[in-house]
Amino acid sequence: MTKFDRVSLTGFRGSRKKVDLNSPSGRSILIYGDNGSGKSSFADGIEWLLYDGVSHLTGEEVGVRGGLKNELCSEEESCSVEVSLLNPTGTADRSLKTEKSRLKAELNCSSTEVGSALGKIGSERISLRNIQLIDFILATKSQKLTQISEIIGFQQVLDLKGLLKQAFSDLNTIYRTKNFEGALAREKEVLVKQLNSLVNTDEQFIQACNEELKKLNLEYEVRKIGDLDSVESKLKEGVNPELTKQVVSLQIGESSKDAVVKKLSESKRSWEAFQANLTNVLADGDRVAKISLSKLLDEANHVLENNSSSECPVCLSGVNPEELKVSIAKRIEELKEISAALKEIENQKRVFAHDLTETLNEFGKFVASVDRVCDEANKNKLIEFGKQLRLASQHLASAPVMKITIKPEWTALEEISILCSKLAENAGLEARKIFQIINSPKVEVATKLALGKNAFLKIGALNREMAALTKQRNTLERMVSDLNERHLRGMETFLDAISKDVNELYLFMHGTERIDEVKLKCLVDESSKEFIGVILSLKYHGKEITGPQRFLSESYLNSLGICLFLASARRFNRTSRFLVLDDVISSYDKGHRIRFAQLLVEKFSDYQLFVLTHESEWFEFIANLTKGLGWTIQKVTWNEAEGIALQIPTLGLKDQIEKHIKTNNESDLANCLRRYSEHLLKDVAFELQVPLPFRFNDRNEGRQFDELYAGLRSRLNSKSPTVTEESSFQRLGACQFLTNKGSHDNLYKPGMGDMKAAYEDTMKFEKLFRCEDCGSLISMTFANIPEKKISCKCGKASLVWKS
Amino acid sequence: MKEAKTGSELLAEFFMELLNLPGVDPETAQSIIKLNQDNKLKRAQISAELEANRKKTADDQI
Repeated sequence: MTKFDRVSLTGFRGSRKKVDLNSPSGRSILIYGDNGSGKSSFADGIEWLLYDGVSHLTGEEVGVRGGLKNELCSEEESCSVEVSLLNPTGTADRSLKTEKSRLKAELNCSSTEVGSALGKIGSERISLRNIQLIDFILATKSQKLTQISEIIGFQQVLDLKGLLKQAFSDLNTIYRTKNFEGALAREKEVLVKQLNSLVNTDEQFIQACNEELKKLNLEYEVRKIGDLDSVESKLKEGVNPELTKQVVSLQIGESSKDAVVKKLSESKRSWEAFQANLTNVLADGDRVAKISLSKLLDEANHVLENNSSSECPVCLSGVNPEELKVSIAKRIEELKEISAALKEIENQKRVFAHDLTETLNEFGKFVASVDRVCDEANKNKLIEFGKQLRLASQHLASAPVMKITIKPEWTALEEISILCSKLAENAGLEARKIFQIINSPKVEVATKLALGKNAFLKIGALNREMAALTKQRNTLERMVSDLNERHLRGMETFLDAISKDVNELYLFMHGTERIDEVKLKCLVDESSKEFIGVILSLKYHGKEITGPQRFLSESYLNSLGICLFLASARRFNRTSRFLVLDDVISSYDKGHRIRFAQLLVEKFSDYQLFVLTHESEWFEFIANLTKGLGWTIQKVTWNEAEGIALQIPTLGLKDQIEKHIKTNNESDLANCLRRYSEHLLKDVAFELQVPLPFRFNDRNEGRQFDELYAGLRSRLNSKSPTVTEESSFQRLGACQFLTNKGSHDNLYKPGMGDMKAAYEDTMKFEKLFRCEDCGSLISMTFANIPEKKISCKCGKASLVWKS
Repeated sequence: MKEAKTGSELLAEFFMELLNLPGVDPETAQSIIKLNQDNKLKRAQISAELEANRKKTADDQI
């Protein structure tokens, strides 16, 4: 799976000159930088490369691709992000170019494999920022469904389901407008008129044809429908073929008149119904115009759900939040109704246009069949009438309902209907005249057979079309129901799986805090079996709650947000094997920061992690925790000339101390040693649950040696008194005296020999509490109450612990 | 526990098993599968394709 070997920024965000963040073999990277140092530029760079956008650089004030290029760079200087990838191996870069005074982003990949991998990663969630942490938790149930659907690609399933439902609804409309029953009745009428019997099967039809032939006392016999053409030809032998053709055409005109006139009348009625619906919806023009406000009202609804104050979050005037919520919900409902009505009308219009086209085809055939009995003036009337209807149907098929400018004109319909009747009558008379001229009973029978065959075949075609349409409707209905079942099963499986992961990760961080069974559940509408949303529930002090924002503090909610992100990445990122975590621990207290660092190291060791932070304490903790695990540790600073500058990798305090001692460098050694012993004491105090007076946030972090040491001593005296009697424990107090003197302005400056001794004593102190095998500290987490002892993670190092 | 599927995997499975679904007309299912393969699965395209199928069926024996 894909990891990064290198990420380089040039003129992008905080960078000016090219800065390379190397991470050989896809190692994880820990980056520390003060606020404004440009560390997040690396997170932004990866995001821009993958998505051609940076989530927090959007909005009117930023503009399109605004904020990407370093403001201090000249127009000539480039702006690009380049990465070197592992698996597939290759490089890719995205650069910003100015074309016709517009900014344009261009992506280049060294191979199609790299391009394809980046394309796949583009659909995965790989980065998390502080501001996004609790977006999901605070989202409404339907927003949660949308967000989850996007993460796992279920939006595609929803889209397909919607599409198939529309197609099914279209088929139902077509079935209604086709009016198969009416069309079949008309053709059957023709059949009875020509062959004097209502036939249903091929055999019955052939028998009826042979009955007609018998009247001529001829030897001809029809055995199958295909024989009819040759029989007709024989019957018409010796007769002017043009006349026989005219007779058939005129008789078709005569017999199809009723159907054509009826179809035109039905089209007129459909149009009037459509027009009335449209007028009705458009009557309230103000409401229609407000459809564009739907999104804004949805957002307002979301804001109000999380707003408990008694003032409007927008205008800050005093309001009753409940009344405001009800009023907005009502407006949303109204707009939904009008939006649904417009959609329905759009659909009606499309079907009407299709239906009108079919009617006009029938009308055209009729006009052609009565051509012989129609004078020029009437012909022009018919052509004009058909022409304007065809123009209108073409316009209706393509124009949205709000933009219809050409409408079918029906005022001439009555006149046209009368004209059609007259022409059909004349066609009948003309056909009979021609029969008289021809004076051949054979031709009369031939014409009957031709018209009968025409009607019989049409009946067959209509039956087949009706059966095909029914099959299609059944198929689409079955497809929708199958897809719905799969969607439901898929979502439930996904939610179970991700809940299991979220729960595991969350309990890792909050295992002793009476929170349990974190779950995502889907809500299904009982009648339609459709999803309506997703809710988040957990057990808090043994009681199941939904809407955890009502009970949990900011820190706990952030934790939940992180776990949701990590769980979804673990489940669904199939191509990428890296995650970018940009300043995500700001609201955590020390205990949870340590747990989070441990979680990353233990549970995501196979991932390449980009961990960015401005919290120095946490940075140092994680730098120590990952010692020997091959992480790249970097510090980032910023200066005007270069932009982002990466400092020589910090080795961690312990490494720094050893390096100072090895090189006999006293500078800053005492300070490093003081900080190391303070960190060590904090960690030990945390693991042994040393009770200390309450302090707020940073003041809690800033506890100094004396307070921690005294607290630890007191705790050990009551629980494991032999430890405080150890010389290694007692000597740490003396060490602190030396390191304090050395790290502050004092007349007495301890020498290198003093510092070496202090370091050795600190190491011995650490050995009292840290296991040499597993490297973890002895902790209350691994308490063995019956045996009255506490141990490290692997159990090899332990302390006696009184209950 | 069953393996959770992504939307793409779920849809791929749906299209793969569509022809074996009881009550499904093979011709209609094939048309939908083909439109999906050609990246033309849109409302108007489905409508046109199904209409062409009906027309073909209706005209078949004329």
